[in-house]
Formats: sequence, C-alpha cells, structure tokens
Amino acid sequence: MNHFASLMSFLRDRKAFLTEVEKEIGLDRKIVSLLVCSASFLALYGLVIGASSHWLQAISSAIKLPGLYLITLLVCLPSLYIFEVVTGSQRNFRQYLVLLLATTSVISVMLLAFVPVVLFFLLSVNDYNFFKLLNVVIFALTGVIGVQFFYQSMKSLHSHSQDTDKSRNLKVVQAWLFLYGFVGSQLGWSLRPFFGTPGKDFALFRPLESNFYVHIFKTLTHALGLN
Amino acid sequence: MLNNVAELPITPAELEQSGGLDLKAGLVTTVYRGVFWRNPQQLRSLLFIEVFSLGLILIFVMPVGFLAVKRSGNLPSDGADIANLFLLFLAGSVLILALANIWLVNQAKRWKSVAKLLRQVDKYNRVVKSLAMLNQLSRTENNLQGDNSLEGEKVLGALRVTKNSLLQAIKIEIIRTKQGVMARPDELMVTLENNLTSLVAGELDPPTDQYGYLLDEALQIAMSVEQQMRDL
Repeated sequence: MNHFASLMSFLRDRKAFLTEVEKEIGLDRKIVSLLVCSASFLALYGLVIGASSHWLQAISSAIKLPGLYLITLLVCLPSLYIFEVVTGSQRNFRQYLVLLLATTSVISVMLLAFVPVVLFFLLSVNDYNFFKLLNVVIFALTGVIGVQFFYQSMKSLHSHSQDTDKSRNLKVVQAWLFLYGFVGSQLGWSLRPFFGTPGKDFALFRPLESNFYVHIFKTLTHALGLN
Repeated sequence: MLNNVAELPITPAELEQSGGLDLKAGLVTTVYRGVFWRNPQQLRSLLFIEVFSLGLILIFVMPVGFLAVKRSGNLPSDGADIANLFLLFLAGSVLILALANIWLVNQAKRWKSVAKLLRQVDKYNRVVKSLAMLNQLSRTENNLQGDNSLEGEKVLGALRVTKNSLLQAIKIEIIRTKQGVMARPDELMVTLENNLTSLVAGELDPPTDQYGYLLDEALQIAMSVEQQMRDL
C-alpha cells in the first residue's frame, strides 16, 4: 500500500475523498494511510526542531510532537462523536476518525513543507527566541489551515445530510473546534520542551508553570525588547 | 495496440471493495504469507508494520506515561534514571507488540485459503504487467511482425474472466473464514467452472508466441483457483 500516494490523491481531490468517507468506502485503508503519513511527517518535523539544541532533544521531540497531535485527537474524538450523535448525525465513529486523521495529515504535510525553511533559519540565525516564535507562527498557521479544512469538510457533510437544523449543528462543530484547540495547546504546554533551551541541560519535561499564552506573550515582548 | 490494460490489475482498493479484504484480513494474510511461507515481499511489509507499530505505541505510551509519573511526583531528575524509565516504557511497548503478534499468528492459521488465493492474485498481476509491457513494445515495433492485436484481445478477455474468478473466490473465502462456515456456495463453483470453460475454449493451440504464453498463464491461474475451491 503506497500511503504517501493515498495522501496526495486525497489532497488533490478532497471532494472525492469526502464522498468516499460519506459512503464508508475504504475507511480502514484511509485510517492506516493517514496515520502512517501524519505520524511520520510530524516525527520528522519534531526531529528538526529538536535538533536546534541537543540530539536527545531531537529524539524526544520526534516522539512528543506526533504524540501531541494524535493524543489530542484521541482525547477530543469521543466528544465530537457524542456531540454529533446528540444533534442527529447518522455517521459512525470511524467516519469521524478518518476526518480528524485527514485534518492531522493536512497539518503534518504542511509542517513537512516548512522543514527546509526551518532548517535554513536554524543554520543561518543564532537567536533562540526568533526560532521559537518562527515555529509558533508555523504551528499556528498550519493549525488554522487544518482546522479550516475540518470545518469545511463538516459543513460539506452536513449540507448533504438529512439534518434539519444545519446552523445549530455547525455551531456545535465550532464549539468543539474551540475545545480541540484548547486541549491541544494545554497538552503542548504540558509536554514541553520541544526545542530545548540553549545553555541548559537536556530535560525531558519542564516544571508546570504559568500557561502557554502567557509564555508566548512574554517571549514576544522579550523579542521586541519591551522587557 | 490494446486499450483497457490499465483496468486489469487487481488493486488493494479492489480487493477491499469487491473482494471484501478489509484491514484485519489484509494484516493476517500478510502475517501468514510472511511467517509461514517466508515470502520476501510480505516479510518486508511485515517488518515495516512491526517497526511502525512499535513507534506508534511509543508515541502514545511515552508522553502519557511520563506525564503520569511526573504528576505522581516520582519523575527522576537524573539523566541515567530518566534513560532507565524510557527503557522501561520501551520494554512495555515491545511486550504489547509481542502479545499482539502472538494473537495475529494464531489468527493467521485460519486464513491459509485466502492467503493461497492472494498468491494467485500476485501471479495474475505479474501476468497483467507482462501484457502491459508487450503492449508497450507493440507500439514501438509497429507492424514489423504483423498485427498481434487479435491475440492480445484474446489475452485481455481471458484476464478479465480470470480477474472475475479471483475476486469472487476471495470474497466467498473471506466470508467463509470469518463466519467459520464449511460449505461453499454452489453458485461460486458454477461461476468458476463456466469461466474455466470459456478460457479453455479460447486456448485451442499450444502457445507459440508471448501472447500465447500469457493466455496459458491466465488459464493456469483460473485452474488453480477452481482446483483450490474444490479441495478446501
């Protein structure tokens, strides 16, 4: 089975992909291909960003980054399924799993596309805060595009279904997306570090302090010389 | 030049849709062919599956495991102790994988008949590949050796019939294996016999050229499928 070819055919023809998901065609094959591609690409990106400090950090990030996205998916998937069932959806658990894995694959393939850019800045710029902010922007951008893909897919599936209150169903999806983002960012904060801090010894985890949003604000103000 | 050769190969998607070869069936037959027949291609697939599965288990187990240990206040700060904890998680992941493999090998023994049919599918796809290559050659050689399209069309027809036989047999065998049913539907045997008859009728003379050999191969595959269905 050529998993990468399956991913590329899905990216090129999303309409056909969604039709197949709706008709439950080849769901198992899709799950395996999307899982293989997303785990591999995320591991590769983790390896690159971890390589900015220590080889142990590279290995650690290669395991933690796919873990971050896939564990977030597993944590949030049951709530998505139950929310959708309560609002009258006839789709099964596997269909939602395929959609979420497709979202993760979209994010992972875009992160893969940014690997040369990240490597370039890793080699040419010796500023840890800049490198960290660059990656925050990349993660945010790929996350927004992935979430947008998921929302458009759900919108498309709802438009073809027999649901009577489509706008309420979409509001439920929007609320769930907020939950997904919140769980993902908190898990990312718990699993840090992904980059490693220059001058500090390798650490598998940092102590739990503050939160992700406060930390990014502090990093931004520090980079702009405001504190 | 032959058209529609591209439609002939039996793809994994077709095996799943028309043959009913889902993820579990595909996995156990890969295990059977790799472990019991030492098929190199299946062994390579199996190795990839094992390595990837270990990586996937680690991806889920390690972050959650370390977070749980950290939450309990027992996370070691010493590098050597962290490494030992990582090795413990790795050993746990290998154990989970080993148990899954034992279960798979036990399951795989029931899928011998489907694995035999999949071996015929590989053989069939090799014949189709040979036909595609011959088709390519005939485009470049043009009419120097005369028009082979009639022979080619015969092979095309034979392969279509063989494809139909293979997919039907696989579908029925998978249902039989999953449900533990012994009896084989009479309609399947009638279909296979009719397909075989039409193939034999098309091959009256011994093969003298490459198309003839391919036609003979298609006939051999169809005969093997029909014989296997009778024997099992």
